[in-house]
Amino acid sequence: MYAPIEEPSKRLSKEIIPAMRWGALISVAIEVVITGILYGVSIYFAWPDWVNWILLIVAAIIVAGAIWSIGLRPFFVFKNTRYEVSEEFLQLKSGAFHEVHELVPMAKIQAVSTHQGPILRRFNLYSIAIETMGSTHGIAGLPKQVAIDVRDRIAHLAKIQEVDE
Amino acid sequence: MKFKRYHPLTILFDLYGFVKNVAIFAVMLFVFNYGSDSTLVRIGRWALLAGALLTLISMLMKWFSTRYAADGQAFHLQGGIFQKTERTIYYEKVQNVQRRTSFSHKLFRMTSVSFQTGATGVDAKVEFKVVTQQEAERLEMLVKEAGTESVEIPDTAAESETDKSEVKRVIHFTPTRRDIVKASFTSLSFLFLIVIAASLFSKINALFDVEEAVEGWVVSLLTSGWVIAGIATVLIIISFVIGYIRTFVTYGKYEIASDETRIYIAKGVLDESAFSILKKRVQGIEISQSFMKRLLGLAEVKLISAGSLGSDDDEVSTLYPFLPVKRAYSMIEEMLPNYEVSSEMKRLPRKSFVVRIVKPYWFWLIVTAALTYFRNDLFSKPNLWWIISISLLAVLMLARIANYWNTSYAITARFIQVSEGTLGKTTYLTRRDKIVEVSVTRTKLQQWTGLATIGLVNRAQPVRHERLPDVTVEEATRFYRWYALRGEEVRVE
Repeated sequence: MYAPIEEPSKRLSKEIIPAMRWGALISVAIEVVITGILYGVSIYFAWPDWVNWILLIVAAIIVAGAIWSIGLRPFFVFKNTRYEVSEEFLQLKSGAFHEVHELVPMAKIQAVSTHQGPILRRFNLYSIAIETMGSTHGIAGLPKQVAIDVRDRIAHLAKIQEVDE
Repeated sequence: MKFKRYHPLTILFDLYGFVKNVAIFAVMLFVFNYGSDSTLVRIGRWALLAGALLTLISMLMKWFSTRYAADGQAFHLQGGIFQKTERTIYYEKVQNVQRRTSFSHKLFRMTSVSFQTGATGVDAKVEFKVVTQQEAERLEMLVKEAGTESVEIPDTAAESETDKSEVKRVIHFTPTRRDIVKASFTSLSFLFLIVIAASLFSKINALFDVEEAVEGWVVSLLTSGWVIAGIATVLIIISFVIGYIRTFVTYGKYEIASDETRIYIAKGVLDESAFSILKKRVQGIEISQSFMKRLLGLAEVKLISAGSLGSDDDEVSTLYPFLPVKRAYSMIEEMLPNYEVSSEMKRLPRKSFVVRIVKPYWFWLIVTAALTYFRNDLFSKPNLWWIISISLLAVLMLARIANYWNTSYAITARFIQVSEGTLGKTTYLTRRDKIVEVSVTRTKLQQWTGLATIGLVNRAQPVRHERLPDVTVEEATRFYRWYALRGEEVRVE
């Protein structure tokens, strides 16, 4: 009988939703300002019509993007992201439209680090970046204490070296 | 620890490299523009002379300031003219060793050797551009001894049985004349000359056409069937011989050998190169066949190493690139008893064929859109644009069908093996404990159809990402759990 891959048990902090909304809001605001300025310039210097049309299309894309990135995406990210750190593996799961399961042995992890930008700081969150020999993985938003614990635990477990055979 | 300078001939070799690089400029400035008085030429000449002088000085200073030492555990490198640097590279970090003896090395009875580590960037290797044979031998021995020490764990049954002190070196393969003929045929190098000959021939023909009236007999001779056939035969023979010689020069003196712990690959007639890798450092094996090789039943086997393998043309990690398929497989098992090639591979399920066929053809859509838009400007014939569009779609669909047909995989107790390809075919084999990480991903379409994409990452230079799209979700889950059990064979320090 088929049983799907067990989901990792740990979730992100719920605070990640407003944090991501703020982040998305800021980048949408920047896009709106730039497009607005371009539109103003276009009107002022009487640029050809098709420039305005393109700007209009860009504006529509920004609106659609805003609905997605401010309204929906933060919730989906929170709902679908899971992680777990066991003795042997780091297990990650993300995405619903594009579902991704990842399994990384502790011994193959090269570096872990915690990061905090201005928005995450406001919500007292940290993100974790985990580097392996092949790629970088991230866990987006964890409360301060949890993030530091996870980081230290991975760092401790990753010290183990495997023997080449 | 005694630090030594590199061999003084290094300067000469560096200089030769520099001269080769600026030769064109020098000829342009001093020969072609010999009498020229233009400012540009004069500036160029002075710049070139100044550059040459500076380079020469920096080469000398570099040679005086860089030293190396090799003790029981590591290479120690000192260098830098203004800013001193010191590097220590432990032997156990060395992933593979490459020895290259070019023709100019041979003139001086020198050789070059480089030790590749798994790191990336400038510090990835320890390179000795010019060393004496004895010194290269000594350095290789040092690295080799450090490598074998840590293999003390009884690895396979075979290893614990045989006596360690006796190093048996088995030669697995040297190409016979037949192999080289096959190889030269596969590389199609003979076609090159035929093309040239044909174009030459047509030119001659055109030339004589003009003078037909005067030298009619020449034309009649040249256009007579026998003569043409004769010339063609001679040309074909010549081009075969050239192809054969070219193949012989690169692949003639090939030797694949191995002992208990290492694999050795040596090749080249004029420029010799040798490669050696610890068996336990082999991250995976790639068996690739181009379309031509498939027709002739040949295959190329490549060892994947975490260290750099050099650029494409002088890559030496390839076991002989024109091995008969059966021999290729049996040789892998002889040399790497730790690897098993499984002959029973699974096809992807029917539904993944359907999914692959109906997936959008973005390339075709873009091309068709462009064709539709420009149809009146581009073609004189009114129907041509949609004929092109439909044939393109047909070709793309055929390619997908072929790709599905060539895709197969096997997940056995300790190994995973994936075959893919459209016209050619590439099989990748790696061991569970060598895989760095795995992933299982599912797009919405795959979720609806019960399929998934599996992915794995191996150490290599650059890092190797292997993907197999559209296996059933059951198999993907099995793969994920299979990897989770890698602890079974992984030993921890």
